Amino acid sequence: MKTMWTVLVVGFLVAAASSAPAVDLTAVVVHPLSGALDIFQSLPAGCDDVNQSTPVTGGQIEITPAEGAPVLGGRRFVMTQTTVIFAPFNIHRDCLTQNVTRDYTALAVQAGGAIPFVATEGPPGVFTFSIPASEVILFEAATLNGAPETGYKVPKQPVTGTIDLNNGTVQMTVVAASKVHVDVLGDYDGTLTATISGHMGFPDADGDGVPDRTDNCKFVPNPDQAPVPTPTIQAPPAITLASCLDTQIGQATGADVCDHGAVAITDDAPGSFPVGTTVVTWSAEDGKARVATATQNVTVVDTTAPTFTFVPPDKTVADCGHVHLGHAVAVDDCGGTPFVKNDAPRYFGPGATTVTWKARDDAGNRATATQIITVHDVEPPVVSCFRERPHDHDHHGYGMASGHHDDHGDDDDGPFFEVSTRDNCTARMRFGGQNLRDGEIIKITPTHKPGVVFLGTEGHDHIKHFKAGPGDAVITSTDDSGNVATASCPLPRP
Amino acid sequence: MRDSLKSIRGWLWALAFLALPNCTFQVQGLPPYNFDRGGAPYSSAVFCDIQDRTAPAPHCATADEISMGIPLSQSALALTQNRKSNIGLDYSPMVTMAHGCAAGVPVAITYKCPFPDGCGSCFNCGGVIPAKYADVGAACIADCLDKNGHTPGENPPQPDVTAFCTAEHAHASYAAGTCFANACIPEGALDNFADPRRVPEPVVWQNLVGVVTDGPAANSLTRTLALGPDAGASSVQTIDHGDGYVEFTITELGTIRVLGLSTGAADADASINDIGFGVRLSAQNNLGIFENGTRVPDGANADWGPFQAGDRVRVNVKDRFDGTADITNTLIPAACAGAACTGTTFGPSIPHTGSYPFRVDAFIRDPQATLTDVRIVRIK
Repeated sequence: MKTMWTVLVVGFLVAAASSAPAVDLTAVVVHPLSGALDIFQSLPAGCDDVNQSTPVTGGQIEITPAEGAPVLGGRRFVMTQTTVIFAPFNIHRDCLTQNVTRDYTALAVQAGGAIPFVATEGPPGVFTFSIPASEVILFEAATLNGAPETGYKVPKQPVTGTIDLNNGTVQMTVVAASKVHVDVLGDYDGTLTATISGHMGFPDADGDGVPDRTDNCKFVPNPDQAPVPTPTIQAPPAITLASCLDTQIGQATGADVCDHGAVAITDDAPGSFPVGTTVVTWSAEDGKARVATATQNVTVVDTTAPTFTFVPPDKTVADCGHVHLGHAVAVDDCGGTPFVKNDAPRYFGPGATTVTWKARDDAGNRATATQIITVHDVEPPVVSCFRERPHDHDHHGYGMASGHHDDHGDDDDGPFFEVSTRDNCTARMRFGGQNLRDGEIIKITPTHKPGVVFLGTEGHDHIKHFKAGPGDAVITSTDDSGNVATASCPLPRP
Repeated sequence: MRDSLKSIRGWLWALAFLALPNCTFQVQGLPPYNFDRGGAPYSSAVFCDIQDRTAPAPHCATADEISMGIPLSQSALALTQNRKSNIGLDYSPMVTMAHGCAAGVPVAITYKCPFPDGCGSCFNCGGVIPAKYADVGAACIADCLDKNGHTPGENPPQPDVTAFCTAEHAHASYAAGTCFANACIPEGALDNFADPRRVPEPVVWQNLVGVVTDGPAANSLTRTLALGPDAGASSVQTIDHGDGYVEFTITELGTIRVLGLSTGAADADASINDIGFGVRLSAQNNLGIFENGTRVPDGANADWGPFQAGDRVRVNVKDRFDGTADITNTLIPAACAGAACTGTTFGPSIPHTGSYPFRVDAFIRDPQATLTDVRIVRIK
């Protein structure tokens, strides 16, 4: 015969919806047990029938799931572990020439396997069941007259009972058959009826005496079921930030103190905080949409310097002078436009010059950045040597008393020249071993002898007087980078 | 005359105490069933996973069976949580493919007794093992013969029953060879048995560097080394497959220590650097997650929330059935006790994955800092 288990399972599977939610398969233990074993055995005439009881003294029944799994017409349970212990008892008969004593000093009955069944709901929360006898294997473990007695048996009739989830009780009746055969007289039937009841030890996590299944707060003892605030939330302590962009304000902690479920914690903090105090509200929401809130003061005292988002790149130019630097850009964590300036000189000389950019925000915080400008001078100076006309230096009072000027600016010893040089960087002129100033008037006397000779200065203006051979009246100008330029002074023939 | 007495085994059948007049009264001995329990007392127990011969053979599970069944990979977890079902679910790819199940659909197996507890049968362990049965597994086969007989305890068993029970349909439900002493009353019935399988296993430490074990189960660690060098230890036990976890209790506040799981068969060192999946307790009493010495941050925050003394921390392993497992972390408040406490999960929203086997690995930075009552749940 196909077991009822199979029948029940198949029926359950057919009846149940295609989508089956996960079932909490936690077991509940029915304990302590009470009840009795009623022993009735008919006996031949002349012997008193056996009709006595012995109480249940121990054992437990374990049922899974604790509240059953909903199925069509009721709930499915499984008795997963069942042991019932009865008090010792004694049967004695002295009849029909026999004097017999059956002394059970111990008697326990254990289910030989799990017993699945479907219980039908009558009044709400009260389920009755009838388990076919063929589904139940009983194992007897006893001590009879001092010797072990063990064996299997199947009940005589269905195991019936009630599960009352409202009151957390289980009641069950098991009937087994007994039989005595007496030769000639035949068989005498008997029954062993165990009536068992017990309290379902539903989980009570907080130990307040209210089972979790009905406890309004499973993990906080509240035997009077007074409401317990849940979830709880603890906002981080007030905090002072140094920057409007600082979001490290801490983390609130929340807990679903009643169910220990997940808690979603959120806050209404802005992406950046303004200067001053902002009240942040933290919320904790549990799986049952219960919400708790707490607040936190977040104060920003801006001590954070602005930040340069762009600094013009370092630059190398080929000549001294003004350099176009570009424009540095700075932003501030608390908004506004920082004031930006730099210390660049109007004139950049040869080599590297560090330009410091400075930014200042509304709170007076300052930031700096640098830009290096390098002048790599490759441009030679410009140098010239122009012959002076006589009147050009007359009014300067150059040595008029010592010579005669003709129309070409010559005097008796030689002509006058104005030497000049130009360079964006600094340039120095030299002639005949002498440094010359830009725009200086010098006197060069032509001679047949090669080379340049400094003869000294003349007049109260100290005009430098040279003597130069043919083609040697060449003025040299050298800048700081070593670039060199020359200019020939147009000397007359000696 | 003796033959005239009909005696039927079991259930007080010894009430057949009457005999014909002038005949000697005699109680007929109970015919033996298949499982020889040895001589009294029958106070030890064996727990056997015995498939139900009369139930449908293993098959691709229906949605309802999935909702009512317990994955075989969760057997250790289910034991600690007292979850059980007659239906076991096998998600291993080889089995599901062999049955032609759709992707993600397990094979349902119907057991005679609840899985993963198994059928608890009382006997005299020392009396029959190994004299009668080589091991617990052999005893389970005998128990299977009784429970799956055409009538309970039918002896000798019918050939189909013998074939069923010897064809890998009955085996010990827990570590092979385990007899549970004093699980039963001497007559041979389970009574209020405090099943030790429901208690997570104390970690056995090895490779101790700068730490000592303590606690009643010697499963706690205390750093004895001065501040500076690495100190830690690793477990003898490993999680080789299936779901499991390692758990410890936070005793003191304000010290830094890390406990988690390392992958591979051996512990490389006592540092944090080889702890593949570690939970770090900070001096500021915040939870951190470190993987091989690298912090796994919580977005912009470095930590995953605060803890308190007495809280418990778990590092969970969930089998992916491809030789790897997802690793998650749970904080269980101190106030919550018992299997009902599921705690709060923290860590990456998409669990990080590691490869079996996993070994418990510990690192303790501060002198006298502790990792208390470290326990592991795993399939043996």
